[in-house]
Amino acid sequence: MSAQAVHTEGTMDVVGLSKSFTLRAAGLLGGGTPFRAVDDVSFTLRPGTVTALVGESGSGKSTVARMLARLHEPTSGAVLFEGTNVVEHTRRRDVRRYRSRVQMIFQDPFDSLNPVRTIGHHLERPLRIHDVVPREDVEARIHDLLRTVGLVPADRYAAKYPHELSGGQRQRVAIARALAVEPSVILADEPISMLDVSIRIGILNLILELKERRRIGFLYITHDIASARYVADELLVMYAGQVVEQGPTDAVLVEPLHPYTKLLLSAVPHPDAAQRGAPVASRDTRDRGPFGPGTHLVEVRPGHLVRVHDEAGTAS
Amino acid sequence: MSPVRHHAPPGRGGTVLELVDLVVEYVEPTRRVRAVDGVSLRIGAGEIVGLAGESGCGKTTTGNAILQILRPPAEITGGRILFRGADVATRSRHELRKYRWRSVSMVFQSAMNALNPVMRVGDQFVDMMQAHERVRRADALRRAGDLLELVGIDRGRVRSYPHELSGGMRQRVIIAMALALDPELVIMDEPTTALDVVVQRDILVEVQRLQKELGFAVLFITHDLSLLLEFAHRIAIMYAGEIVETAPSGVLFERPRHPYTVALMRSFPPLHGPLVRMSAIPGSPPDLGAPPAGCRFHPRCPHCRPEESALYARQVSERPALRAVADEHRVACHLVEGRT
Repeated sequence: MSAQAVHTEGTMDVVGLSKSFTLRAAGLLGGGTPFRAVDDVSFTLRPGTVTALVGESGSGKSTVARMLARLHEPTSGAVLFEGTNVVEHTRRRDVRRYRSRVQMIFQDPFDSLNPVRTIGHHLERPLRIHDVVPREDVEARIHDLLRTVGLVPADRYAAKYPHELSGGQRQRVAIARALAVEPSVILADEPISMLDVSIRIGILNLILELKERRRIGFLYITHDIASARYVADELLVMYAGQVVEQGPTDAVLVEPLHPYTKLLLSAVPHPDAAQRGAPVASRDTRDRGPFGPGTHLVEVRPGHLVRVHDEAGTAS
Repeated sequence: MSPVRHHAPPGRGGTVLELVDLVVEYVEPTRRVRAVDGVSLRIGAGEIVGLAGESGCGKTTTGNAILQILRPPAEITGGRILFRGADVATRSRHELRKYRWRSVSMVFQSAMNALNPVMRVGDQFVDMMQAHERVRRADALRRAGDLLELVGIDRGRVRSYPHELSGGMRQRVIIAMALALDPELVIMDEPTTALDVVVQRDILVEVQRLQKELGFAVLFITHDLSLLLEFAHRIAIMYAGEIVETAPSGVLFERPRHPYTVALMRSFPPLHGPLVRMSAIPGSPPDLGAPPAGCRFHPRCPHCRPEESALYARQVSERPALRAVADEHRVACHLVEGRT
């Protein structure tokens, strides 16, 4: 993987991406109510950066990732990868080539591994399917991959079965498998939320390392805004299918503008003594601010966007 | 109208539960795995005690042992569990039935899935109440409504099916069920782990409010120390089947003494202040079937270095005892001198 000077290499431009699902069996309302899972999401994923998509379950963040991975068809909008709209890919060969450049890892590393196959087998398959290295080099490459994700001694881990590994180690295998095809982009859907707090940092550090050393662009999906602060260069906060605030991580977190961003920030446990003993929050902090129809994003500072009511000038 | 009967808080006091050198083993054909190895812990009336540690450290097994719901191959092979001073092990089946739920209840790890999907919420309350006492259906349903209101859910929801409720609401229902018989102690095993942060905070606020109102004690089991530091009165840190440090939350936050506690403290990224690259705890927890000799944390401990030969010899061979370093602050570590 050479970092050639083509300015679009490894860059993904997401433009006005939307997805509606049709809710069937909607009870009294009858069938066929469309539901906007993702509404007009735009951002750019650059090589060697991490973009975090933060929100609660049902906010549409995973649906965005699934559309980028070509697991869901967008209702409208474009996904430009290195300048080409991949939504228009129809030939299997194009889709397969795209998938060798854009990989996805999931929340539950156990679900995505076959219990009767060794770790080595899981890494061998993508190497063979995508013809990444000559046959005789496969084993050496498997060991390389395991070392890259910190599973050493590599030969021992290659021979193990998924149930012999801890949750964190399994997530490392999932990352090694994604790396096997030498992707430019990795879509990581809640990669640490099932893991013990104590090993999350290890996975986050691995993401940072891969971004810095290999210039991989990451989409990091999470409901944990503190972990997003730790890894992400850019941050998008989603609520009810829409982006309510987006921009450079520092800008958004130092001066959050949208009420929902503030709510997310206030919900993170803060161990400082000042807070202890007092009620942790009150139930009237439920203001989720402007979202839904009749709102739009405005750029309040270069690159820092916040959702406001159409008639209003500010978010609050 | 008070939503549930409760003992007058003044009558509650003293120690609700005490674990004395509790040992729980998984007895397998070829070996014995000590999941809980000599745990001593006291929970005072109306106290929120946090039990924190990584997966497999024995914290859930401890909770199950307290409620006396261990199943083979797990069995209590040592120590005592005292509820209000009386040994739980000597209770008859009938007494145990009263002990469970009426004295100690539990909010389980996968509580979201603990509700029966094809039964209305109200009927699940009725079932549970009728299993523990003679009560007419109509009365039980009325109390179910009261309990739902207690946790901030419309009483009309007794007619709902679980799938009609959000994850946060289901968790509130589960908490209401745990409170139904007015227990003195509620064990909560990762009650918010599957929830979004905002919902998690709502639930914690709710638990705190109820705890103040009704005066029950909580044993809160979680891998997320950051949450306990804010929420619990006192915290016990568990590693490889043992409690390695216990202190009031504020003390633990300001002066953690055990290297494992310190490492856990550093494992959640901060939301404020400077961002530095953090380091994960190296290695992984030991196999409890063959735990390391000496201090069980020594293979992962940054302060365990062969160069310091005298200390090292003790670290790898001698099991450190839990010693008091200050009032209510106890640490099991060779680096820490006990108070004399």
